[in-house]
Order: sequence, then C-alpha cells, then structure tokens
Amino acid sequence: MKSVFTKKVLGILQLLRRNKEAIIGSIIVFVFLLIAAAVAVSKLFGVQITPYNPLQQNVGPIAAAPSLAHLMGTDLQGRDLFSRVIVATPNDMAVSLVVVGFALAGGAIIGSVAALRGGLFDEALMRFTDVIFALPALVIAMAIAISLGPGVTNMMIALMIIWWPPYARLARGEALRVTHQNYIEAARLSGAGTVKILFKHVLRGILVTLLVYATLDIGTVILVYSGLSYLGLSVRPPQPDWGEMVSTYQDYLITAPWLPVIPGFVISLVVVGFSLLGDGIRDALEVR
Amino acid sequence: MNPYRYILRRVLFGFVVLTCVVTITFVLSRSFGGNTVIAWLGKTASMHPELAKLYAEEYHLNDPIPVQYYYYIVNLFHGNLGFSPSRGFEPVALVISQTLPFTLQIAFFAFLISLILGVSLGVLSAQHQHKAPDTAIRVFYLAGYSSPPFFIALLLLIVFAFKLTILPTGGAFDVVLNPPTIITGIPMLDAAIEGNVPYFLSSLKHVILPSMALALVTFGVLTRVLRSSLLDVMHSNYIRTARAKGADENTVFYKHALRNAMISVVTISSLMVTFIITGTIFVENVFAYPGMGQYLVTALSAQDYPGVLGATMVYAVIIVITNLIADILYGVVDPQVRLG
Amino acid sequence: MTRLLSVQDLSVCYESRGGTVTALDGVNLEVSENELVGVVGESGCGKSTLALALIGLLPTPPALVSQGVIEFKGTDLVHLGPKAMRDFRGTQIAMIFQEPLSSLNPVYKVGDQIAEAIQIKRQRENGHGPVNSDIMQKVHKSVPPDGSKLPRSKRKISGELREKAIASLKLVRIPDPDQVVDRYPFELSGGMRQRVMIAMALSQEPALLIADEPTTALDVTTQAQVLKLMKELMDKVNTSVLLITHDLAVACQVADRIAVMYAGDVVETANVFDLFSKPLHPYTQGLLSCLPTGSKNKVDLKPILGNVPDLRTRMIGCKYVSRCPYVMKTCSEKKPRLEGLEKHEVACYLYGEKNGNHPTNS
Repeated sequence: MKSVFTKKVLGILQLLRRNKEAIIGSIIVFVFLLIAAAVAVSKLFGVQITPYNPLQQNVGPIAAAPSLAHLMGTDLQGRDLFSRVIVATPNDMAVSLVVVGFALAGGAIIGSVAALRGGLFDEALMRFTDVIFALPALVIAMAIAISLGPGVTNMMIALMIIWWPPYARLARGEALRVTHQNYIEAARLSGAGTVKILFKHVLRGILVTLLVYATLDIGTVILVYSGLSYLGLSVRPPQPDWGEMVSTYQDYLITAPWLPVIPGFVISLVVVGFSLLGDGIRDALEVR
Repeated sequence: MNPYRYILRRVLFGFVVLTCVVTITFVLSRSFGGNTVIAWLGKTASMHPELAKLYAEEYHLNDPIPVQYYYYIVNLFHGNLGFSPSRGFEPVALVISQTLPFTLQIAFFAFLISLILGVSLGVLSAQHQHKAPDTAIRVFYLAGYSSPPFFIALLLLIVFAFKLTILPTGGAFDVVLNPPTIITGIPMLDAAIEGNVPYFLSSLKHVILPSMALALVTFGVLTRVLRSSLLDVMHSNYIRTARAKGADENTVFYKHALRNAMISVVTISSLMVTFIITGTIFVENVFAYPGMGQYLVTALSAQDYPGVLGATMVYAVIIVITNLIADILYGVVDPQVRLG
Repeated sequence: MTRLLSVQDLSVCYESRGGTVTALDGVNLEVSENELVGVVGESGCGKSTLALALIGLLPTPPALVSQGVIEFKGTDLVHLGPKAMRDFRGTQIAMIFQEPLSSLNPVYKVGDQIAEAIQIKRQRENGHGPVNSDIMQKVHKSVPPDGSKLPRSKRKISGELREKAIASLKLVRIPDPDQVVDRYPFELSGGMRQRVMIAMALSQEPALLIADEPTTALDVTTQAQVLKLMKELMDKVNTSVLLITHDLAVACQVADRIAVMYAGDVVETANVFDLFSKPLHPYTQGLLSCLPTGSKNKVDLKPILGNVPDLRTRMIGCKYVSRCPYVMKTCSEKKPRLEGLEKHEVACYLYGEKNGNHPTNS
C-alpha cells in the first residue's frame, strides 16, 4: 500500500513539472515558506536576518520611497518596510498551515469514522456540517476572536474551530467511495478486523483528494487571516503583520502609497502562489 | 405539494441556522468574564455602576443562564441589541438601522457587477477555450480572487480617485445635497422612487468604486464555474440532439447549453453573496463609506462589544437569509429539484 | 425503388493519443426510398461513426473524413460546408440516439423541444434559413390572449405549435399526449422518451432517419413496441430508416435489408431472408451460429474465436484473417471488394469469378 501512495505522489510531481503554472506557483510557495522558516529559526536564536531591525525606528529617512538602501521604503516612524514585511511572513504562513493541517487531520478522522460507522453519528455529522456551512466563516471567526482577545495564536484557534467541517464532509464522501472498493473488503476478510487498520487503508485512499483541496484552501485561510489582521485583531503594535500594515498605513495612501500597497501585494502574491500550485495538482490528478 | 415542501424544508433549516447564530452570539456575549453587563454596555460599564446595576436588573443579567437566554431572545424580537458606547450609548439596533442600508447598496451593486462580469467572461472563455482570450481572462480572475478586498479597494482608490480624480474619495454621497425622504430606508432606492436625481447620481458616483472593488474579487469564482459548466454541457448528448435537429450554433449555445449551465450559476450565487457581504466590511473601511462595516470596525477598535456583537449577528443573519433565497431559486431554475 | 443515399468508399479516421484509428475503411452502402436498412456489427466496428458521418456530426478535431463520397439525393455531403450541411440536418436527415434521457434537454418540456423541431422545419420551408435564437420565445409568443400571463413554468405551450406537438405524440402512440406535452424528460419512462425522440425526429418529416441503437437502453418488450412503431411510421411519413444495432435479432425484426460491418468495413449486404438463409461472409456465418436457436436439443453455442483487430494499426488485406476458418493467401495481401449480384453483396475472396464461385450459386 505504501508504494501505491508514493507512486501516486511521484506521478503527480511528474505531471506538475510539465505544467507551467504549477511551477510558478511552487516557486512562489517555496520562497515564502523558506522565508518564514528562516525568520522563525532566526527568532529562536535571537539573530537578525533582515537588513534592518524591523522594530527599530529611524533607521532611515521618514516615509522614504523604495530605494536601493530600503527596498520597500520606510514608514512614518522611519522603520524599514522590507524588514517588517519579511518578519511578518511566519504569521500568515504558520496560521494558514496550522489551521489547514488541523482541519485536514481532524476532518479526515471525523469524516472517515462517520463513513465507517454510519448510523446516528453519520447523520449528526451531516446536519452539523450543514449548519456550519451556512454560517459565514469570517463573521464567526471575528466573533470568536472578539471573545478570545487579540493575538496571532487566538486567531489561529478561532479559525481552527470553524475550519474543519468541509474536510469532514469531503473525507466522508471519499471514504464512502473507498470503502466500497475491493481492497477494503479483502482487508476485512483477511482478518484485519480492527477499525484502526481499516483506518490506515481508508486514510491512504482519501488523502490525495483532501490534499488537493487543502492546497487551494491555504490561500483562503491567508485571506481570512489577513482580513482579521487588517481589523486589528491579530498582532499588537509595533509587531508587524501584513494585514495590519495595510490598515495602519492606509491613511498615508496619498503621501506614501507604497506603505499600504506593498504588504497588500505580498498577500496577493502568496495566495496566487498557492492557487496556482493547487490548480496544478488538481489538473494533474484529472489528467490521470 | 413538492415545490412547497422543498421551500418549507429550506426555511425550516434556515430557522435552525438562525437559532445557532443567535445562540453563538449569546454564548460569546456571556464570555467576557463575570460581568456580563459588558455585553450590553461595553467596557465602560464599570464607570457607571448605577447604570450597570439598572441594566443588570432590567435585562436579568444576574439570573441563571437559561433565563438570560430567554430574555436575550425576547429582547431580540423587540429589536434590542444593547447600547453602543462608541456611539454615545445609542441603541445598537438604531445604529445598525442607519448603517445597514448603505452596506446593502454596496452589496447590491457589487453583486450586479459580479454577475455581469462573471457571466460574460465565463461565456467568452468557454467559447474561446484554450485560446488567448481564455488565458487572459484566467489571469484576470486569478489576480482578482487571490487579492484581499482591501487591497483591490486601495488600488482602485489610488487610480480613480487620486490619480484620475474622476470619482470621489469617500463617503456615500455629497453632503450638501438634500437626502431623500425615508420610504424604504435605503437611500438610493428612496431617491429613485422620489425622483431625487442629484442625490441618486451622487450616490452612484460614490458607490461605484467600493462595489467595483468587491466585484473584481468575487466574479472569478463565477467565471470559473460557468466556464467549466459550459464546457461540460457542450459535450452532452442533448446538445448533439439539438444539432441533429438542425438548430444553428447560436441557438445551441444560448438556448440549450447556457440555460443548463446557469444552474451552476445559481448554486455559486450564495457563495458570492457571502463573500460580498463579508467583503463590505473592508471596502467600507477603505472608502469611509458609512455602512455597517464602518461601524463594526470603529466598534472593534473602541472595544464596543455590544456594537460588535450586534453587527456580527446581523451580518450572519443576512447571509443565512440570502443563502436561503438562493436555495429556493435553485429549485425554480432546475425542474428536477422542483418536481423530482 | 429510387436510391436515396449512396455511400461510396467512405473512410474516417480519428487522431488519438495512441495513434490514428481508422474507424471506417472504405465503406460502401446504399439506402433506397421507403427502405429500412439495418447496419449490424459488434462494438467498435464503426457503425456509430458511420451514422455521425452521414449526418455531419463527427467531432471534427479528432475525426476526419479522409476519403469517400456520401451522395444524398444527388448532393455530396462530404464536401458541403458546415452551414450548408446544417440545412440538411433534421429536415432531410434526422437522427435518434441510444440514450433518450441524456439526449433530451432536461430543462425544457418535451412539447417545447418537439415544437422547436417543427419550427425549424417551418423556417426552412419559408426559406428563412438558420433558426432565430429566439425560438423558445416564439413558441411561447404564439399564444392566444388568455393564459399568457402565467409564469413561464406554469404556462403551457399554446397555439398551433402545441397542437402539432400533440399530433406528433399521437403519431408515436403516447398515451395522454396533451398531458405528456407539458412534461419534462425525467418525468417519462425510457420507452416514452424514445418515442418522444422519434416523434421529434419525424415531425420534421426527414427523408432519412438514422436510428443509432435506439432500443439498446430499453427492456425487451418496449424494444419490440418501438421497433414496430418505427416500421409503421416509415410508410406514414414516407421516411427511410437506417437502423444501427449490435443485435442481429433486433435488425431482423424490422429490416428490409441488412449490412454487416466488421472493424470498419461493410462485409456483406443482403435482404433479410437471403442473409439468414444464405449467409456468405464467414463473419456473418459466425454471427448467426452465435444466436441461440431455441431448439429443444442442447446445442453448444459457437462463439467466434479471437479478437477484433486493433484499429490503430493500418491493416493490408481483409481484417477478418485472424479469425476466419477459410483464410487463404490472397486474404492478407489485398482487401476484398464488396461485390455481388442481385442485391446480395459480399467482400470475400471465397466468392467472385476468380474462384468460380458466384454469390448466387447455391
């Protein structure tokens, strides 16, 4: 079974290589992930990897336009925008990856169990996810965020609470499809009686579909999180965060347009990257 | 019979969801630690202890939870959502009634523009599959739906309001003009009914950029779904039959194919509406448009919990209701759902 | 009997990822007026390709007519432009398909769809050429003053077109035609849907009706009814029918003549009785011996050993060589031509003046 899975993944990678968009998407995603990792590690060791200290004021002229010295210019306190943007990267990356990862794992398990058990649990799950689907994600996340208080971790929690139902639905559907296939029957007959072993088979079968959805979903989480950050629910100043920066610098749109526009552009760029990558993976799967 | 049963089921479901929304906001409003008066008066409650005590008694805030819940619902039905410190303790419901119409104006135009853009570009890209127009459209909508609404709003603001100065930079209308008399409560609609042309035109100028910003972000999903649906439908057997009958390509595409593909448009509409309504929060902020989103944002920064919770609940309610309408429309458009 | 359709040396190939597939390899076929010709062959022999080629609905990016002539009432259809070919479709050559549910538009009532067909015919008769895309609007607009204010879904199609649609339904013997005319396809049974398709096709009064596996998706009793109906309507509407099927039994119930196809070739054509009493081509003989005879004695069914050749590889010679019990050296060298006398033709070297075996020699 292991080889079937890895073969699938390798096959997808091969097809991806031919797809121009997927390549662009992968490069973008890779770069951002690299930056995020680098920043996180550097924070761990107390090392500064950005050209300037992102929190330090007056490292350059006030509200200077982008130049060689300051690639993205400086803000109203003389802080280097480029450094701030870099340092803010792990927030969006971490939040999106953790939220989607959690939703994927949780949803996969709940959905599979529902498909295998059937009956009341299954029905309850379906009704429950129906209701959650009908609720608007941003609004509910906002409401949860209000009561939890601001902060990156709290945002992560708020999103994690509401993000898993689509995955549970998807997993359930896929699990139902997989369990009707022969190798599950074979496993059952061969004495693999425990639910756990069936789990392993079922999860392998549904994982690919869920991963495709997840890749496209990461971009959505980033958009929602940056929205929450824009509303001031995430970091506390002077800590930088992409969404927060757009909101804080919004007033200087006329005098220093690069200040709000560049962080906004960065958000779009990373979401485009994930979209292209996700689309590429999905197209690769359809071709097969 | 069947069509009515379908509607009834959807409405009942809507009620269930609304109950959940109300319950969630109730739970959240009680989660501010011991003093639940904050949910009604905001953080400044501690500065007005007598007032706080009065409210606590009036709204039964010291009673057991089920009782509180009961009175919460009762108050809701009376339109009582608490008092907003960020607005001088005006009733939240009043503020919302003043700001919601503006939000609806943006939402309406945004939806309209999204539909027009989405359908026309979807049709175009399906007809020119894999050729230059298709790719260009794809790039266009990818950029659109990958961008946060506030970013697109900012770009539009820079280009049209500041650089080109053809459109205003903020507000909902020119303040020197006479506002229309209140008929429906929605300013532009009232102006239209009344014939108040200057106000209507001014409002139009002010609403176009925020709506456009939202539309640019939203149309993408529609285009993508319609394109894919059209391509699928064009390969179906009944299209072959239509051609076998001798129908010309225009009839085949518009009467036979598009009509079927439109079904997918209706399903995606509820997603679009959800997106647009949550998006208004951001574009109103960028364009200083006096809608509910603007209120929500100021309430957030002022820690005006009654305002935030009230607005949040109204957003959720609107979205649930519009999704319900979309569901019912789906039954109208697809005869199999209606009669089957 | 006058000749309606004459297919001469028609070849069609498909470009696919695995190579070029020769779906039709020089096919010859004739259909006369008021004749029901059955085209019989197993899956993949090219029958559907032939049907689509005749009505000009081959998907032309992958498919290509590489040679040949389709002569219909004196016009060569192969070399017609798309617009001119469209004018033949429906009113001259009509086609019904295997899956009646997916072949009818799910969002329009069956009456509307039949009315559309009638409208097209009318427009052509009046010389108005291509159909206005407002056709559904017209159907609803041709409405008497009353009953037109109802929403479209509640409004029944009214007026003259409605009467004509009901008449078409009556022709195919659908019960309660004035109710059925307002139904959607999914509300009807398989047999009724197929009748609707026949009604729709015949309402345009075509000279030739091509029926591609019309009964395959139906149960046996409905099958018999639909076939009988088609045969009766032929005379009423003065239409010839080209019935395509893999089921020899179905063909022999109604056909006047039968053409047997194998791997892209027509290997034998004869009238029904001659085909059954004197099958000439080894493939035909094999097919007939596969049929259960229903005799009281236990008889082993004799399947034809071997497989259909891969159409991606270009074959020289007769395509049946790998399975023919009488294979000779000439068979692999050059493909035998379809020839014979008295309307019984066969493409096989067992017959022909060379060997002194004349097809009509008993």
